[in-house]
Amino acid sequence: MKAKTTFWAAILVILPMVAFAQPPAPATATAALDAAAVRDLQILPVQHAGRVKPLDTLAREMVQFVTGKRRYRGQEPIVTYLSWTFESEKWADEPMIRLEYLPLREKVGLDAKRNTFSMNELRSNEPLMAIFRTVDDKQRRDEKLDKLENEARDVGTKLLVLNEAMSGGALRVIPSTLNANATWFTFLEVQDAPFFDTKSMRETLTAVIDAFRAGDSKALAVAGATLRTDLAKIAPAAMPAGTKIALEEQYNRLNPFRKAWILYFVAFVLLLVGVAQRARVWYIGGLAALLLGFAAQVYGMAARIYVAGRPPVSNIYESMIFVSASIVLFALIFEAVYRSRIFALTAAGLGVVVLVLSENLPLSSEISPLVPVLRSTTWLTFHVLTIMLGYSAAFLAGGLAFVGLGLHAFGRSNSPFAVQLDKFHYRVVQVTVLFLGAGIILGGVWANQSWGRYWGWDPKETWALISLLAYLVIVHGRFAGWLKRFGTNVASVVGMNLVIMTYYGVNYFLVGLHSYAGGAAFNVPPWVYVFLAAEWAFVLFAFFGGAPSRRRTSQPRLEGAPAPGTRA
Amino acid sequence: MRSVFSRIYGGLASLKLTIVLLSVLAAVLIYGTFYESANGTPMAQRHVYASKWFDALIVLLAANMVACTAKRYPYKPHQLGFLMVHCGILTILTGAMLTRNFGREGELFLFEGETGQAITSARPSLQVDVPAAGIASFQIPVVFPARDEGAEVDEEVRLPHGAMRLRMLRYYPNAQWTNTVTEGEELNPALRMRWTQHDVPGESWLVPSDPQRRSLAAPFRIDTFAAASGREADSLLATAGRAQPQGRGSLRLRLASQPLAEIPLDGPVPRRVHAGDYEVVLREWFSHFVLREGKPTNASADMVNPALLFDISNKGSTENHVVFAFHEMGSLLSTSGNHGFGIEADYVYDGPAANESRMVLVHAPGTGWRAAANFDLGLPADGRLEVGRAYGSDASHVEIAIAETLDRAAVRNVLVNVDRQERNPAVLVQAVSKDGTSDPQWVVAGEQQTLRLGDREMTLQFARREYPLGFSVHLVDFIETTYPGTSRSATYASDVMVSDGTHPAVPIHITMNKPLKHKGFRLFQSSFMRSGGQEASVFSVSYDPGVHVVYTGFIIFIAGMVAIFYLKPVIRRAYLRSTTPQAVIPDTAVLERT
Repeated sequence: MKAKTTFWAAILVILPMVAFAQPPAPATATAALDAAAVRDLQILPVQHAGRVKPLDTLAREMVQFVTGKRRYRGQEPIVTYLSWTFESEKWADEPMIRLEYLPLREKVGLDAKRNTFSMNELRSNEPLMAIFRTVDDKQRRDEKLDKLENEARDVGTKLLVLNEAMSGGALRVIPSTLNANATWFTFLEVQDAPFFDTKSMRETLTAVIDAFRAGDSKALAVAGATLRTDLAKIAPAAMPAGTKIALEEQYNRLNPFRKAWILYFVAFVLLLVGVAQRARVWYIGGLAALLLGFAAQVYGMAARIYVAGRPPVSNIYESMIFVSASIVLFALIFEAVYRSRIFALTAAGLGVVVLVLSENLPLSSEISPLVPVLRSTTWLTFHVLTIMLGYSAAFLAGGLAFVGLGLHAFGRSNSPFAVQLDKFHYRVVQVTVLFLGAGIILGGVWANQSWGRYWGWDPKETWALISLLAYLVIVHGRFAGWLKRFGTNVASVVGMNLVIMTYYGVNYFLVGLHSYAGGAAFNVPPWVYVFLAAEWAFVLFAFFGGAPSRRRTSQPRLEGAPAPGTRA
Repeated sequence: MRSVFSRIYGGLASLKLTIVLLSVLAAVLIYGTFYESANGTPMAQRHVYASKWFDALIVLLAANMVACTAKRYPYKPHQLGFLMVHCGILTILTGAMLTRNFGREGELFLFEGETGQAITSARPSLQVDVPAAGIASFQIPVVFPARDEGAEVDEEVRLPHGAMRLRMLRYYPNAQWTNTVTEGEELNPALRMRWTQHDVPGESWLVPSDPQRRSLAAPFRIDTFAAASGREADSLLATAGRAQPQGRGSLRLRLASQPLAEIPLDGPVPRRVHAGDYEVVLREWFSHFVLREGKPTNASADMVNPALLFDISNKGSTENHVVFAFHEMGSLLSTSGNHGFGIEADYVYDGPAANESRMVLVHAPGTGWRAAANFDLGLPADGRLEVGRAYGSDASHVEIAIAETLDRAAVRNVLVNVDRQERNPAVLVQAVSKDGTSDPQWVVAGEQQTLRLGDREMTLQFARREYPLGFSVHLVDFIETTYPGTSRSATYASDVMVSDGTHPAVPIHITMNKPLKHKGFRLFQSSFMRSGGQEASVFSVSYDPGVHVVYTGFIIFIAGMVAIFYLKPVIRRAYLRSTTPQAVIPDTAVLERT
């Protein structure tokens, strides 16, 4: 429920307050620990899910996964995670495991009013265990799971993760001296890793645990630092660069994408006031906020690229980050060329929407290794980045089209501003055509390089072509004189919807080769329908509501239409 | 005549036609994607993307493009981009046509150490041979909707020379032979048991006369018997409370997946037995194995956890093993000195465990079915179960019911569909001619069947077609690398030797994104398989003479688009400057003019 609340809060403009509000203090003894006490433990390298990451990242991923929240009871995730491991007895009855899916709760007879449950509650639930067994059987036989079983499997994985955390089985912090690809060791396996002085290591670990349990910040800071230095000495060659670990921890701490959308939101408000007030100071302030937000995004993307060692093209989350950044980038370029404030305003609004969605949709923001087929970096990168630029341009065009429809609705469709806006809009449509076309073509090149077939009518590529066709209809319609300002705006909204279908909807409605990019998704969230209904209600409102100046007083030449006197 | 031609030309060259065609194409593609998700990719390929009407639509669009482009001749320099974009698309379409008509796609599946000279098509097709009618190797595509329950189809294909037709009646995307119980002729009692365990339902036929269907292991152990008399039935029901004396079971040894020996465990232990070149010493047998202070101990005489300690020796070296009857995992536990004989050992024991929940169902003439259980299942005292009524106990979370009974049951082998994934397709076919129709016959992928119609015999082969590569590929080694500390794949690769027969073989390393290129063919590492300790590589193979044409089209198209949107004003200005030197060119921003 949290995800949805935050989303609507953003729409209702109260979100910045929510984001900055302080959560209630946690009840456990570890609350006494200050931030510096865990600093060394946060940057402790740990091998997990195919790469070496700071313990801070592991803790964040696991706390998010199990509780569904960024922080549990307002604690630093690392404190929560270490408490799971070092004080596991405190957590067995803590209702913190998120079980969102109501039909599953009803089916297994759990309290329908709660959506978090404790480990012991779930473990002692026989019907749930029976479903786990069915899931296990089905998976072994390679059969498809239904929705309920999928949700049950998720809960089961949460239990496993929590169990692993509580037993210390996930803390693979002792590097292997064998080779770079070897599995690291946990403290439980110390006897298997006799490459160092295990006795002193055990003492240090005991010191860490004691300090943590006692809530002694000073002692924990000292013990943590000793542990980190000692572990780093075991196999210096296997350790990742210290800067990489430190940067990742910093990236976690700064949460740049949230900062970015808050700044975009500020920019949006300032620019909106600027439009109303027609005072330059608002515009400059808004632009500054937009630039700052963009800088935060660039920092975040650069950090991810450096940490992962690959371009940001592996999943929907990364692509949404890239899309929002490129919408703003396009707007800044157009802003520089045309000096019209409408680009910055539209991009700020779209940036907020895309980033808030990326934060609240059930998408994995983890930096994880790529599946083999996605490891052909060159052409794949060109393809994804180009097509994403195409999507971004389509969203920007759609945003401008909404502004144009708004002008139409309020009888301003023939104002000089509307005429100018139309020109800008059509420019963005051209950029869309260019990048969508090039993106589809590069997709063909990638496919040919990867499996020898440049085109296979896979749903994702077919839908990309459908989107491109829609924009080609706009280009030819303008040239033929069929589409005027209002028509272009409506067609651009249609195009944007097709792009959304290509980008996101295909993963829900249709299956294909690209499905690894989306993961298993089943239900269309209800707000999608709300959004579509609102969108088309607005188009209809613009059509019927824009009565006063429907009779055109002037007929300036449309961009894209042939010049008078030329043959069509 | 001329006016008709020019009217058609004018219509074809109309921009409005372009808009209509683009919109229609978009709508068709939307339909196509949804059609695909409902009916499967092969159906969509056949009935949408590779259909005649779709080709017609593309040809019409191409004709429209050609006409529109031709109509604007002679061209002005600023029309360069427009010209390039449309020529680019036409080039792409030409290349696509080459790919479709002269290209070839297939698969090469090789185990390590195997050599392949031919690729197989991705999908099987029906090959028809009727020697009497002069029909040889006639190919029929089998493309039908992939549905969970299989699809009713009715498609007739006319075979060459017109005399015969082949009718396809039903299609299963994933067929499997299975036993089913139906009403038969002979006296043979059977019942269909239905149960739920923790709300998970299950169902199964039980047939006492059939060794495969006599007993069930889930939801708890159920044994059925057919008794000759009421008295025999009573004594059988009385056994429900006790473990059936089934003996100790046996030790089954296999070497490289081939049976080596099956040693019965009844009789004295320890004992020495010979199995092939190996000597097996049965050291100690347990009916109820537990570890007490680290030592294997027999806790009771009941069959709670039967286990066997044994040694295998060969040429002076000895392996010690332990196997368990009820624990499949870890049935081969080496306690010391594993010399890697590669012997697999299984403790085979069919009987029930002593502490197991168990029900016995006995059929006797006159009294029908009666049941008894060794735990509280709410059964009536006389053991007579009502058909359709559920019996159960809250403690065990199990409910059972007899769904139906048959007095004359027959077990038949029938073909059923498992799911909609096209893994093992099968099609029900019938030969048709003016003399009549043959019996319907199922043909499963990879099988061959014969249909008889009058005095003619039709041979059907439902198999993947093979195409020669023109060279041979020998798989030396498949290599999978994983991400550190996980079993998650990072890359797949294959070491192969390629030879033409004339030159010495060349070693080549194929990786996920670095295919083998030879004689116009490209071999891509697409996946792999592990089976019986062996590794196999799956290569997807493509031969595509159109790809360079398509790539040329790509470049022209993108360059043309840049020219249209961004260079047109520059070109136009340069042109005006060269033709009318005195003309005043307004110095507006380049991007503002189209």
